[in-house]
Order: sequence, then structure tokens, then C-alpha cells
Amino acid sequence: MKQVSLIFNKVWVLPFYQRHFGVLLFVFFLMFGIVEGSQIIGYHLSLINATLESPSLLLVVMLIWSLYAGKSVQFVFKKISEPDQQFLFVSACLKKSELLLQTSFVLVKMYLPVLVYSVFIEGVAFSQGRIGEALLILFYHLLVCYAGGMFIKNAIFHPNKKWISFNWFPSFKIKKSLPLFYIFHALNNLRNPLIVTKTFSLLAMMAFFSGFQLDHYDFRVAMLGFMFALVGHCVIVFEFRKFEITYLNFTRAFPVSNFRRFITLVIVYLLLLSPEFVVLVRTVPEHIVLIDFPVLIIFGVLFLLLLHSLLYRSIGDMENYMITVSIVAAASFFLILFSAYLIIFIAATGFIMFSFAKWFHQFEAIEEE
Amino acid sequence: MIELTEIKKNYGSHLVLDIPRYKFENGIYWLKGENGSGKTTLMKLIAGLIPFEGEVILNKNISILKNRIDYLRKVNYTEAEPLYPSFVTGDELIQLFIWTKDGDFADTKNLMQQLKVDTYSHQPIGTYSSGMNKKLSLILAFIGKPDLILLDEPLVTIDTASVETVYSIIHEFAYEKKVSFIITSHHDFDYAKISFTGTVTVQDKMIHAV
Repeated sequence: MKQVSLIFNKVWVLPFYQRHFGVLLFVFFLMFGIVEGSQIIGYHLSLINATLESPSLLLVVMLIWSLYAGKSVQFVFKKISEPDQQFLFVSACLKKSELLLQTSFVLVKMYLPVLVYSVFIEGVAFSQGRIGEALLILFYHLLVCYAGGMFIKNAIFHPNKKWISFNWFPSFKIKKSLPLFYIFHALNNLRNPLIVTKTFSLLAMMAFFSGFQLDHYDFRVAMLGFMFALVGHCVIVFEFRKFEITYLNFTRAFPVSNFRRFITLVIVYLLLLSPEFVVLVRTVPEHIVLIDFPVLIIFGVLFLLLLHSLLYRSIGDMENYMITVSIVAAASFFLILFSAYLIIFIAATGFIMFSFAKWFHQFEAIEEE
Repeated sequence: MIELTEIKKNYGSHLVLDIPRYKFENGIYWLKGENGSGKTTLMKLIAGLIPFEGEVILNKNISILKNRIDYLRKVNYTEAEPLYPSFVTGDELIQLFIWTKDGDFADTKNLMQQLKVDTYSHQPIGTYSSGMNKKLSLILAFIGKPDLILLDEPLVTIDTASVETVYSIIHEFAYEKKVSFIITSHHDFDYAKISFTGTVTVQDKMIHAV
């Protein structure tokens, strides 16, 4: 049994953390890096109290945890289907209960960051006599680990069956032009990241708009909320660039100007951000004055285009990319605080144009291998 | 006519091509070479798909560096193993190429009928066999008003009847539309159906006339 656990650790748990190190680091930074050291405990106590006091917020938090658990299970599914992991099907010879214990333990290890934070939530809940909430969270985690373990165990017994998929997504039959190639790639091949991204993005915006009830209009709140939503799209941008390199390489030999390539990507990102724009429109005039709305649209498209154009120079690993995204986000954060929108637009447009001119035709995927 | 000057191509520190000067006059050329000799790299380089040091000039005055859009309008290329998004249909891809290469729909439709691509082009590419995919890529290579078409292993994976059709299309483009070709192939050609202006090999990082 111990050997099975060690093998599962090597083939699933460690690769999971290696693969998602950058994302986890980024989340850690968001949780602990943006607040002054002396205020961290107070900040997290406020967060935990708000979560325990508001059932709807607790539901949102549980939804985020569920997405994380779902991502962990999906990672194992993907690994199981790889040819070099065919040998793992031999573990189906174990007793079902023993295998379930092992697979549930796999999920516990992948889910550990959530569980560690939940220990503090449980501590606060018990200390405040919120036994109901504490037991609810405990029961929820037990259920997630058990269900995840069941999914993994079943995948070992039935390797070719899809246990989690989003096949309820509608399939569209419309004539596709180049910008729609990207969108259809997202809808066909990036369903899970797209769902996670859009959920995070919409929740981030809603949290900002409901959390900052100011007595006067401040456009920076909308910009900051939208910026967090945009940062959530960084994985989709990375995947779009990979898609370009792998499947749209032939477009590099198209006799079109860099401006036309730029416009194509503007359309791509306008389409990608259309759900966010709908949400933003609904906040007019309560949180956004109509005249400021075009600024948000331009900012959204330029922000994602900037991330995209950064990958023209080099598409390294996700970790390096996430560091770059963090830097861009931090710079944008401070420029928004100072309402320096014109500087953001000029700098972003200038950098995007420079990237197209300097790196687009000089990029070579083989150098990255 | 295409002229290569001071061409150097590296993959990392590995020098793959080092061509001081080479000129292809108008005509059909068979580009030979061992595996890894740099044939595909040379084709991609002329097609404008990969960066390199040096200069490529088409028809004496159209530079790949200085007149990139004009150059790319006149040079078409198809890969040995083309890769397209699986959810896109052949029709959609052809439409995209017609639009960007300023192609003629009727001419393309005719090519599709000759290679029987029109029978399946409404389906997503993910459902195609490698031969169907290859025939689609060949159609794409003939779209527009090219002066030079680069075909990397055009006969691989396609059936015998389609090979005959490809010969006749190359013949038509070369002799009626005065289009030049550089073709790589490890297979022998039927010389009764296609006559080459010259055969060249890529060897020792350079191009040699045979």
C-alpha cells in the first residue's frame, strides 16, 4: 500500500504542483503579498469572518474550492490517459476500498493548500461558537475528497470513460473567420479553463462592485475590478498563443500588414471579453458613468493584447509567464490608482506595436523546444 | 526567379544552412537532400515562415525583408505534414486563403473538384484522413496569384489518382500561368508527366545544382 501511495505521489501529486507552481504562487501572492506584514492576520480574520457571516459568500468560496478540486481531478484524468501511465491500471487489482482510500488521499494532497487555509477558518469558526458553519465546511471537504477519490478510482477501473466533461456546451455551426478560430478553440479545447476563467472573472467584478459602496463616483473601482477579471484571463491568452504557434502557423505567411494582424486580435479579445462587457453595462449608471465605458473596453482589449504580444518574444513556461503577468498587473494597478489611463493606453499600444514589428516574424517555436 | 543572398540559418548554435548566393531561374525544380539536410528549413525560409540572416529576392526586386506583403502575396507554400485546427472545415480554411491571398473562388472550386476535395470540404478537418488533409493543403498552395509555389513532399499520403491530378495541376500552373515550383520529394516522379528545369540538392548546408 505504501508503494502505491509513493507511485501516485510521483506520477500525479508532484507533477501537479510542478505544473501549477506559478499559478499557486500567484494566488499566494494575492492572498498574502498585497497586504502589509503587520496587517496580514487582521486582513485574513476579516476575510474569514465575512465568509462565515455571509452564506452567499461562503457559497462562492466553496464554489472556488470545488473548481480547484475539479481541476485536480481533471489533471489526474489527463495523466491516466497518457501512454506512459498505462501501467497504473494494474492498481485496479487492489481491493476497491483500499484503492479508494489511496485515491482519496491523492486528492487530499493536491487539495492541501485549501485544507491548510480551512484549518484556520475552522479554528476561527469554533472559537466564535459557529459550530454549524465549522461542521458544514468540514463535511464539505470530506465530501470533496471522497468524491474526488471515487472519480479517480473509477477512472483507473474504466480508463476510457469520461467522468467529468462539459459536453453540455452548445456546439455552434456558423461560418468561422480567423478571429472566430480562437474563440472556437476556446469553446472546443479549453472548456474547463474557460469556465474557471469566466467564473473567476465575473465573481471578481461582482465582488468589487458589491464590496465598494462609495458615497461618490470613483471610476478607479471599476477599473481595478475589471483588471482583476482581466488577470484571470492570462491562462486563456497563453493558450491562444500556443494555438497560434501550433495550428495557425500558416497565417505567418499571409500577405497582410501587422495592423491587420493587430485588428484580428482586437476582434478576438473583444469577443472573449463580451460576457464581461455585458456585466459592466449592467452596472451603468450605478457604478460606471456611460462616458467612461469605452475606456474600460479599450483597457480590457489592450491589457490582453499586451499579454499576448509579450509571448511573441518568447513563449517559455507558464511560471515565467505568470511572473510577467504579475508585473504587468502590478504596474497597471498603480497606474490605475493614479488615474493615469492615458499613460496605460500609450504604453500598452506602443509596446504591442513594437512587439508586432520586432518579434512577430522573428519568433521561432523550435527555439523554445 | 528567386535569388538567395548570404543566407545563414541556425537552430540554436547549430548552423543548418549557409548559402552565400544561389539563384533559381523560372521553372520547376526538384529539391533533394537527405533527412535533416535542411530542405524543409530552406522551403520555410523562402516561404517567410522562419527568421534567418540574409536576403531573399523574388523577380529581381521584391525583397522578403523590405516588401514582405508583396513578396508573400507571390509565394505560396504547403508543408509536408500540414496541421490545421480540427474544428475548422476545409471550406472555411479555403475561404480564409482566398480572402487573404486575393484568390479566385471559381478557380479554387475547379481545383477542389479535380482533387475531389469538394466532396468533404464541408466537414471539420478533425474528421479528415492524412490524405484528405494533404489534398486540402495542396489546394491552399494554389490559391491566389503566386509566382512561386513551394511544395514539400506533395505526393506523400495521397492516392494514385490524386497523384496524377497533382501532376496535371502543376503542369497547368507552370506552363499556362508561368508559375515556378520548388518541390521536395523522396519519391521519384513520372518524367512523362512532369519535366524539371533542374534538380538541386541541399548538402553540407549549401545548395548544389545536380
